[in-house]
This record gives sequence, structure tokens and C-alpha cells, in this order.
Amino acid sequence: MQTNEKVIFSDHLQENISHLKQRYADCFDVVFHDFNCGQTPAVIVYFMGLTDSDMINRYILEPTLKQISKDGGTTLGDFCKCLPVSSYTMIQTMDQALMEIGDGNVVMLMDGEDRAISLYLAKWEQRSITEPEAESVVRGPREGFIETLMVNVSMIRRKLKSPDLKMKSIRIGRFSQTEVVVAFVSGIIESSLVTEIESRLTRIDIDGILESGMIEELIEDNPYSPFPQLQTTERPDVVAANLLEGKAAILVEGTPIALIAPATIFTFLQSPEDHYQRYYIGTAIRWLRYFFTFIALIGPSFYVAIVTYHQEMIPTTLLLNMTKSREQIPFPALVEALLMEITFEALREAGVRLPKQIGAAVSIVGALVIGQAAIAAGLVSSPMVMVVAITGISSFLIPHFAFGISIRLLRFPMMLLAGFMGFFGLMMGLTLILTHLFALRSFGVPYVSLSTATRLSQLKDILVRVPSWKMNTRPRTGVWNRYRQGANQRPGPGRGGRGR
Amino acid sequence: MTSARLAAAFLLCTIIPFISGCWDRTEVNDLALIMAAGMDAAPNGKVELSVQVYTPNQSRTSSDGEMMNSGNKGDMVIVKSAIGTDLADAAQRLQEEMPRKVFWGHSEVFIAGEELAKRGILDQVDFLFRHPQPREHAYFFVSKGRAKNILSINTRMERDSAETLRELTVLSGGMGLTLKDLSGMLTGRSKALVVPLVGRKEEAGGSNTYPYINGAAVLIKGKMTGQYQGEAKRYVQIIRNELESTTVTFPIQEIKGKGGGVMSVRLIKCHTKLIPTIRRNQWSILVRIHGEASVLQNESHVNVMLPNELPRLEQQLNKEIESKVKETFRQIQDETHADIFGTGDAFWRKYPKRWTKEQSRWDEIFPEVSVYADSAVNIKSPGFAGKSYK
Repeated sequence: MQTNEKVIFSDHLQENISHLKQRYADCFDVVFHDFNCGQTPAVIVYFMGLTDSDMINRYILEPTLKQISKDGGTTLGDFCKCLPVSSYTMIQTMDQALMEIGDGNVVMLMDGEDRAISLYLAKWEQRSITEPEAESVVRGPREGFIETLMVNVSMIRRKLKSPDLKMKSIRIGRFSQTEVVVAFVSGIIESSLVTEIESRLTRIDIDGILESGMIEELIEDNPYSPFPQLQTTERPDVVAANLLEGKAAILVEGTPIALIAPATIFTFLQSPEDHYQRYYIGTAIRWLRYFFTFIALIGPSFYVAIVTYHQEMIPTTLLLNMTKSREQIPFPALVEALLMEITFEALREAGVRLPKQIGAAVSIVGALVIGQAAIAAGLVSSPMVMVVAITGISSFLIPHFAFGISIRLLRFPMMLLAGFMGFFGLMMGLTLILTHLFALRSFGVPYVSLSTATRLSQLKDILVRVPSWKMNTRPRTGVWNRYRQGANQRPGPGRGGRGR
Repeated sequence: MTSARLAAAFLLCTIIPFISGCWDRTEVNDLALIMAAGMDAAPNGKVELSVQVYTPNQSRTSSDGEMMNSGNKGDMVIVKSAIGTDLADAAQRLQEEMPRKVFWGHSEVFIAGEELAKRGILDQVDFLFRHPQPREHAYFFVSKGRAKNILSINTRMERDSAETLRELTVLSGGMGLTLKDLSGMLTGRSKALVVPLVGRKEEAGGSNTYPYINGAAVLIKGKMTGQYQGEAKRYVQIIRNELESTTVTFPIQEIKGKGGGVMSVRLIKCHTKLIPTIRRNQWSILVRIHGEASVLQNESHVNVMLPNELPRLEQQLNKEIESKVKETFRQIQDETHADIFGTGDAFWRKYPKRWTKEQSRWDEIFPEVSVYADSAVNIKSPGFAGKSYK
């Protein structure tokens, strides 16, 4: 949008066309096609590559030249009724026309009309739906979002067919004009949340949105927090499940990653699979995850603190072994830990960036050669290698990458604190992190919502994963529409349709 | 304004670690880990402190990260000693000789030599309670002879002699005395203590020796006044209600032509209660024992599978226990004059007024207390075998 004033169409075709041509100067891929609609000259404007030219020939030009010229329909309104195109809109301003053309639609102008028509014939090459790579599950749907917004929207719509699923579209980005869709289920979501999300989205004014991460950064509650405050997912089933819990999803054109707001710390520690597996397994795995999240945060710092300050806390035999292995190490435990952790992060980063074939080689070199050789060379002790390995693995137990990486990052200040002040420092660090977490909000919802959950029912999906026939109420229930399912959903003999 | 505050916060965060330093940072390889410590009497009222220090260099790891075993000599500890005016002084002298920082946190065994025990341990254990590092769960022993000699034993079954002693007390069932128990008993009503007595024995057919617990030392107000060994040890534990299980061997009298013999039973459960009575000026105590037993060895002709034989056996067994209990009690009364059974506590609980009045005389009263025993141990099982093989 270079000009803010709205240019409206004039009656003269030539004026409109020259205006458009001026705007599209030096754009080789724009097509202005003149033809006659009866006696009236008309022009269609579209982008090559964004529009199917075959369809233009078949559904616009052919009927126009054959029939309309006979019948003599000369107004745009009459004209479009005769076209075999399912969807079109009337547009009034030049900016709107530019936007429609940019979206890949065909804009048609006629002489003597102070408006234009946009025909939805956009079609471009797109990736097919594949399994989401970052969020794979053993049990659950195998489809993931792709880069095309309309396909993503359709995937959600296929899961929630009710008209209560609302999708609101917003354009963001001065140059990118990216389409952003806010999806929610009316009747479940608090309407203030929708207003809040919309107002936060509309105040974004930047050059371009290329990925949902840019939006995430611009609508967060606390921009300085190390923790992600919006859940990201590339799974339509996760979006649908969250919409049903009264959350809103933000889908962005051009990226397979959708945002879900609001998020709490527990959403990042839960996997969609928790709800697909049996609830015992779901609960057990959830606790395993909670435990290892804690390990991922304080594992090495705990080790450093205990080895440098609190030797009395180690069982005697273990201490003797540790003394033996640390005997030849030139560095203090803190340096040793930092060395290993940084090496591990480097290996991880290298593994992500490298092509898959080389990635395996790097991990072998990293794990076997460096790990083993470092011990043999007397650079690090073997307990430290084990601590780093366990910490590394536990950080990958966190199902959401964004949360996992912030935990991994916080590990380093924790290590420094533990190295300088022992358990005292560790506790200081934990207190700081906890204080921050409890103060953090995501769209007005407390990040650690345990603090506000005085009712036990709120914990049904946090501490344990209760069977779905017991989860009768929605989380964060508002005053209305509290029950998510009919009463008495527990299955059992005599409880189905057949009776005793 | 905000940038100034940010800068201040940043400075604070970066400065704090460096000014606080890591001044009390000690890596594990800068520590001299003390596994056990012994205290002995030294001339001129001084104390000799001997410590068993772990030496990781003896078992260094080889270049490929695997443990190299430096023979099976078990030379992983060395014993060092220093003489000082008191324990703290000796500890300081020891530290001055050591290239690493002395660390008491893993010392699980403290041994007081016999001579020092006779002189009195109270002044020395004060160091162990006051120093922040020694664990209160460390075991306390008195040794026959010098404690240093026990520490320098090369054991072959366990890592070192300290570990051997620790394992022994775990197995001995209630014999072990931790520093925590010690401080509790020192503040208790009767000032008597029972501390396991460590001796050394030669291995059969070898020059090696090994430490073992061969009885108990009796201490009154921190001073060793006597000791007991063997069977008395077992029955003291029964009276003190400390026993988890033990073996009792008793004779069976011949009845109606049926042969007698000897039988051993294992006490599976044993509960003891002390019931005090004061009648006029006669203080007496009744030791009441309840328990269950199973037959361990039957050398008699009694068929233990017959239910009607059991009362007879139980009677004999209880008679044996009763007589042994009385015998032990009197032995302790006569030999050590120390109320190690908690009799004083029992009298205080039942006759609080009388006790307060006579408290100061308790040392005189205790040797005169008459003892009665009442044992009700039931034989629950004949063991895995049936009747006697005779």
C-alpha cells in the first residue's frame, strides 16, 4: 500500500487500465488481456503462474466470446451471472483490485462501469499434505498443515463442521499482504478473547509476515520472556481439539505452523497423543515428561552444585567413583559442564541444519568419537558425559520444540548460578524462573494456571489424564456452556444402546 | 531511565557471581575423604586422632576409561594420625600434613580406643557433634586396644575396615550406635551407654586380620566401666528390646522314657517389656518377653510335628530364656553397676515422685534391684523338616 487514499474506479476503462498499468510497471508477470464483450471493451488482469490460464480460456473467454456477444449483456452484473465461475466478488476500489490480483484472482474491468469483478480462479503449485515432521505421533491422524492457507482452513473445517466454527480473515503486512485467519468456535470461546486477538493482530504494521513466528512475536503478552506464550502446531487435530477447549487458532498464509492462543505451561508439556492413548499410559507418560522437563532444566547445574559444594549429599560409594574419574580432569566441574553442554548444543544444531544423510554421520561422530575421546583425553569425566547425555535426551522429551529450546537455554544461567553459589544459586535461579512463570500471562490467562485452579476439576487434564468420559467440563469454564459432553458417558455393560 | 535500570540490573547480574566468587568451592578431587576416624589416648592427657583417608590414586582409571584394578590388596585407604591437645587440635595438625582439604562428611565410622574410653569420651565426641561435617548417622564404636590398629586393618571382603564395621552393624540388628543415638543417650535419664566393642581376629590359615564386633562396652557418663561378651550380649539385647532375631538353644528333659536332648529355635519376633515394682523399699523389675519362634535344629527325640508336644517344648524354652535373662541382668548389675537396660526410665514412668526423690541414689539402688523374668515365647513352626531323623 503505497498510497493511503482510496482510488475508486472511474467510468472510463482506459483510465482504470492506465492506473493499474502504472502500478504494475516493471512487472513482467502481470497480464492485461483486452477483449470485447459484445460491443463493450473489457480487460482482464491477472498474474501468470498464480492463475490457471486454461480455466480463463474455458470459463471466461470462451463463454464471453460465444454467448454473451449474442445476448448482448453489457453490464458487469449481467455478465458475471452468465459465467460458469462459482465464486466472484464485486470490487469498488483500486486497492481492492490490486489485492485480488495479488491473490491470484482474475479481475475484469468493463468500459462504462465504475466497479470491477474479481473471479476466483487462483491456482498455483502447492505441496501435498504430508505427515507433520516435528510433531509425529504413534497413534493419531497423519496429516499436517501445508503452506496454503485455504487447504489448512479446509482441514479444520473437515474436523469441525458446525457453523459455530468461525473463521475471520485479516490482512497483515504492508508489502506481503499476508492473509491471516483467526479461527474459533463461538459459544465456547470467551468473546473478549476474540476481540483481544483481533485487536492485537490489527495493530501489527510491518513490511511482511513470512511465518507465524513473526506474528507470535508481535502479539505476545511479555515480549522479553524466554518462554513461548503461544502454542504452535502443524496438526489440524491439535487445532480442532484446542478450538473445542475454548481457544483460538491463528493460521497464516504461507506457513504450515498455526498458532493457538492462549497457552499455559501445561499445553507445552502435553502431546496430542496423550488423549489418543489409553489414559493410564497418557498419565504415566505425562508424569515422565514433567520429571524430565525438570531434569532438562537443572540436571547439569544440580551435578555441578553437588560436586563443587555439597559432597556430603552424594552416597559414599558413588562419591568414591566420582573422585576417581575426576582425578585427572584439569577443569573445575562448572567449566567441564559448560564445555560439554555447549558441545552438545553445537552437535544438535549441526544435526538440524545438515542434510539427513550427513546428519547421521555427525551424530555418530559427536556421540561416539567426541564423547569417548573426551573422556580418554582427560578433558571431561565420565559422570559428566552421562549427565549431559541424560539432560540432552530429557530436553527432547518436551513435545513442543519452542518450549524445549527455552528450557535448554535457561540451563546455562542455571549452571553458572550453581557453579558460583551451589544449591543456593540453584534455588535462586529456580525461584526467579518460577516467579516469572507465575507472573506470565498469555492473552490474560495465567501461564501457570494451577495457581488459579482452586477446583480439582481443573487438574483433571494436568496432573493426570482422566478418561474422556470423566472430563465433563471444559477447561477454564466460563459462566456458560460449561459441559462439553452429556452426563454419564462412562462405557460398560448395560450402558450402551442395548441395555441389559 | 529504563536503560539506566537495565544497565544496573545487568551489572548486578554479572558482578554478583564474580564478587561472591566461588570462595568455598571445593572440587571432589581437592578433598581428602575421611572414611573412618579413630581416637586414642596419648601421653600427657593428649589425644591421638587417626583417620582412614581414601586415596583415589591407587585406583586410577586407565586411558580408555576403564577401571584398572591395582591388585586385590585393597590398598585404597591410608591411615594417618596426629596427636593434639584435643580432637580439634589433632584434626588441625592432620590437616596441615595433608595436601587436600579434610572432609568429614563421609566418615561413617568413629572408633574410640579402649584407653580413651576409660578416660572418658564425652570431651572428644563434643567435637563430632559440634563440627558441621560429621554425619549424625555415623556409627560409633569402642575398640579393644587401640583404635588406630583397627583402622589399619586391610580387609579383603569389603572396601576398607570402616565399611566392614558399618556392614557388620547393619547385620547385627540393633547393635549399632549412631552419633545421633549417642547424643540422645547422653542426655537420657540413666547415664549408661552400650557401645559395640570392636576386636580383631586372625583369618583362618592366613596372616590377615579382620575386625569384628565381639561384645559391648558399658560406659557410665562417658567412661568405660565394663564390658560383656558372648551370650550376655544377646540377652542384653533381648532385655533392651532391641533384638530382631536370634537363636536360643535349650535342653529338653527326659519324660516318661522319651529321650531328652538339645533343641535350637530361632526367635522370629521378640518383644520385651520392663515392669517395675516398688514394695516398701524393695525395688524389683519384671522382664516380660513375648515372642514367636521356629525350630532350627532338633537333636532330641521329640517329634515336633505333634501339637501336644509343643507346650512342653515351649515351657522348657521359656525356662531357659528366663534363667538366662535373670543371669545376664545380675551379671551386668554386679560387674558394671550400669543401668544399661533403661530400668531407670521404667521406674521414673511408673513412680515419678519416688524417682525424683531417689534419683541421686539410683547408682546405689540399681545393683540391688531384684529381677524376675516371665517369658511367653510360642513355637509357631517346626521348620521345613518334619520329625526328628533319629
